[in-house]
Order: sequence, then structure tokens, then C-alpha cells
Amino acid sequence: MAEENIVEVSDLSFSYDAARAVLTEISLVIPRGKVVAIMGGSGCGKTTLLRLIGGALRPTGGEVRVFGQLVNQMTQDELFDLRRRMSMLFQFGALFTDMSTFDNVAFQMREHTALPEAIIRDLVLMKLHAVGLRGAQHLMPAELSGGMARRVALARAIALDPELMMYDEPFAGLDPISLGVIGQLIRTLNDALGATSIVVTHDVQESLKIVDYIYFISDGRIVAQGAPAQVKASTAPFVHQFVWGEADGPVPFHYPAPQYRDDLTGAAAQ
Amino acid sequence: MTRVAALLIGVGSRVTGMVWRLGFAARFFWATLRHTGTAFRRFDLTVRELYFAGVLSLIIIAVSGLFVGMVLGLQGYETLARYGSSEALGVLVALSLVRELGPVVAALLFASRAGSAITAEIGLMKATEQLDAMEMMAVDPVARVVAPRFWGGVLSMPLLAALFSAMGIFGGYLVGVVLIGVDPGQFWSQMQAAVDFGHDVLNGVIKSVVFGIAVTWIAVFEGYDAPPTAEGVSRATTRTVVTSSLAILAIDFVLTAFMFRGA
Repeated sequence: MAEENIVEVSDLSFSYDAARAVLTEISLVIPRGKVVAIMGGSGCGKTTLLRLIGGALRPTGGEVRVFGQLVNQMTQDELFDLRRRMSMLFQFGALFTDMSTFDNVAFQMREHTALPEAIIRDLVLMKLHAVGLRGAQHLMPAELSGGMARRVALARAIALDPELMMYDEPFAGLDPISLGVIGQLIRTLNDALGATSIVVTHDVQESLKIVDYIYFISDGRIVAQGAPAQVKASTAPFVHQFVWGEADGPVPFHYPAPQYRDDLTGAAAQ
Repeated sequence: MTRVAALLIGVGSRVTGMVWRLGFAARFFWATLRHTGTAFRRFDLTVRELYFAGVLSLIIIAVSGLFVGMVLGLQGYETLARYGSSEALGVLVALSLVRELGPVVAALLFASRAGSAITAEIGLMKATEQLDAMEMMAVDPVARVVAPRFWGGVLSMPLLAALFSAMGIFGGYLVGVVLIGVDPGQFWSQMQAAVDFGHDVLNGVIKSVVFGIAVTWIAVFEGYDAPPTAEGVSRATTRTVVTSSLAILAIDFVLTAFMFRGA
């Protein structure tokens, strides 16, 4: 079972409307126990891919299998059963603002289990301790810094020990210390829980330290893939531009536009 | 020719858009009703919403009711005194409030105080991905967030309307009896004789229940359907107040026509 793939995506296509495809013929696998990064520039369809895996969106072509089950045609009840085995960390945490840190972490336990409150309390404190925020249990989300909120959201995401963790831009908008902390937590929690993780990000340097494998997406297609060492050594133009953060390359600096001169002289409008 | 075609296409797409949205609202209403069980099985969630929609609206409802009743007392006395029947002031104040002003004005106030808050809260929960997060945790937001708010609003509305009417009658008493000097015995006894429980009070309660359903339905739907941006939420909040105010007045006319056909 060690080689079992938790997620299998084959020939997946998705578009909101017929005019513009968001994802085109994506195929990838996420093996059990691994931390896999999906990278690409802003707006390349990374988050959409995550939502397709979670069943929040329905693909227009191809299929998504999670734990061997076909996600495409599930009813809401089947989806909810599946989602009890997975968890997602949203970009800005998405903490429930009307609940304290403690209640946020306890939310799923109270919704999905019949555990007595005393046990829930112990479990919540353990989860909060794992992210270093046991002392912040009484604070409201508005009283937390961005990095703390992300960690509370992480504690909430691991509340029921999910088998599959999905992270949507976990590093966005964090200071270097919080960034390192979140990176390490993703890795250690994955290994401690025996989970499998998908990290959608554009933070190359941080992810290269913690992930096992990387897929690059550009314009809705997978353009490159490999282990961190291969990626660093890659001479493929897109990967090189992305990893070294160059302003121009296969991903152009300019949004498609008419000739500069034509635009300024008004020739383009005619 | 192309301009006419463009105009027709524009009108057509707006109409289909509206019909589509109305259909979604109806399906959403049905989904909310299906989760009624959750709202009552986990009554603590609904009690919380009763507090936010109902208890926190008490002051505005009580004070407005008092003033509306006082104005009714003044204006009613003015008119009734011309015909020498100022002792019927109690009847006038009570019937106006119980049949019409109580349910209608309380519902209008409820729409702007609680309805807008419900829309803004659900809209912001959507904008900050809290509803998405809930769905990813296998918890249905319609059951957990929408249904308790809906039933909290629906249960509060008749209680608030009753309070509005009671405060209004007290206001009418203050102005008519205490200030102007109408005979208190006449004021109360005529009111008691003329106000029928089934025909007047119960119909007023039915109105307030219907208004409660309409206002809260519009409020939760607008919040749930709001575009997840600051502008989207602010527009949805405005739409809640405007749509539910118009709905209250239109429904009131229809209900009144059915309930009090010149009888």
C-alpha cells in the first residue's frame, strides 16, 4: 500500500465559460505520505485545481479520483463523507470570526463527533499546542496576527486528523519568521499524522525546503515537474524564470496588447 | 438594426438573469426549509440568532412603538373630537396598531435593523471564505448558518410586532388619557369591546409571521448570493432593505384585502 496514490487526476479540463479554459488536460498523482507542491504564477488555475480535487467545482472534462473514488459525479452526501477524510487550509485562514480560537478548532469535533466536552477540550489544546498557540485559546480571530491566524486555521484543519491536507497559498502575506514556522509545520504535521499534503503556492524558496515533488502549471497546463533538486538544476526556460524570479521570459512581463506605438498614436483604436 | 438587436439582447439577458435568480431564491428557500430540523434540533444556534435579531431590536421597536402610539393619540383625538366621539380614541389607536401599524412598521424596522445585519454577516462570511471552509469541513452552511438565522428572524418578528403594538397602545394612553384627559374607563372599555381577538389580533399576528418569513428569506438569500467583494456585500445589504420594505408593503395590501374586505 506504500505506493498507493491518494489523488489521481487524469486529463482534467475546466472552464467557467466556453471562451476561456482555466485548466487543460491536467494529469498528476499525489502518492501517499508525500508533500507535493503545485506551483505557478498568480491566476494560472492552481486554486481552481485544489477546488476540483475537493469537489467544490465540477470538471468540464477528465476525472479526479481521491482515495480511489471518482469525485466528479458524487452527490452532496457522498462528497461530505469524502471531505471528512480531507482538510483544507484557506489562503487567509477563513477562521469563523464569531468564534474564539478554541471554538474554531473545536468546530469540526462538535459538528461531526459525539465526544464529551472534556475530551474535546483536551484534543483542542493538543492541536493548539502543536501549532504553538495553546496560550491564545481565548483570543478572537480579530485579535490574532496574520501568521497566528494561519496557524490557528492549521490547527482547525488537523482537528480530525485528516488523511489528505490541502493548503491554498499557505505562505502568502507572511513575515519571514511566520513563513518558516508554517513551512516546518506543514512538513512535521504531515509526517506525524501520516497524512498526504498538497501545497498550492508560488513561494519557490520556502516550498523547495519542505516538499517531495513539484508540478508547475502555466496557462492551465502542467509545464514541468520534478523533485526539488531536479527543479533547482532545471534549465527549462519556464522553470528557470520561475525559480529565479526573472521579470521576463516564457511568461511575458506585458499583458497581451496592441503595438505600443499604435496604441499611443491611436492607430490601434481604429 | 444592430443597435435594436443589441438592445433586445440586453433586455433578454436581464430578464433571463432575473428569472434565473428568482428560481435560485425559490430553491434556496426550499433548501432552508429542509434544514428546519437542524434549526430546532440544535436550538441553541437558533436562540443565538433570536438574541441578535430579536433582543437587540427591542429598543428600536419599543421606542418607535411608543412614539407612533403617541402620534396616533394626538391625531386621533384631533379628528374624533370634531365628531364628539373622543372616548373612542382607545379603539382607534388599538385597531390601527394591531391590524396595520404594528406588523407593518415593526417589519420595516426589523428589515433595516436585523435584515441588513443578517445579509451583511452572511455576505462577509462568504467574502472571507468562511462558508467555503465550512463546506470543505463537510458542514452544510445552509443548515449551520442560514437555517438558524432564518428561524430566529421568523420567530422574533411576531413577538416584536406584539411589543410594538403594546407600546403604541401605551403611548396612545399616555397622550390621550394622561395628557389630554380622555376618560380612562371609556378608553379601555371601548377598546376591549371593539377589538376582536380572532378578526383583529390574530390577523395582525398572521401578517407579522408572513412579514417575518419574507424579510428573513430576502435577508439570508441576499447575503448568500452576494458577490464576495466589499462592493457586493454593501449592495446586497442595500437590496435587502429596499426589497423587503417593498415586499412588506405589497404583501400587506394583499393580506389586508383578504382579511378585511370592508367587514
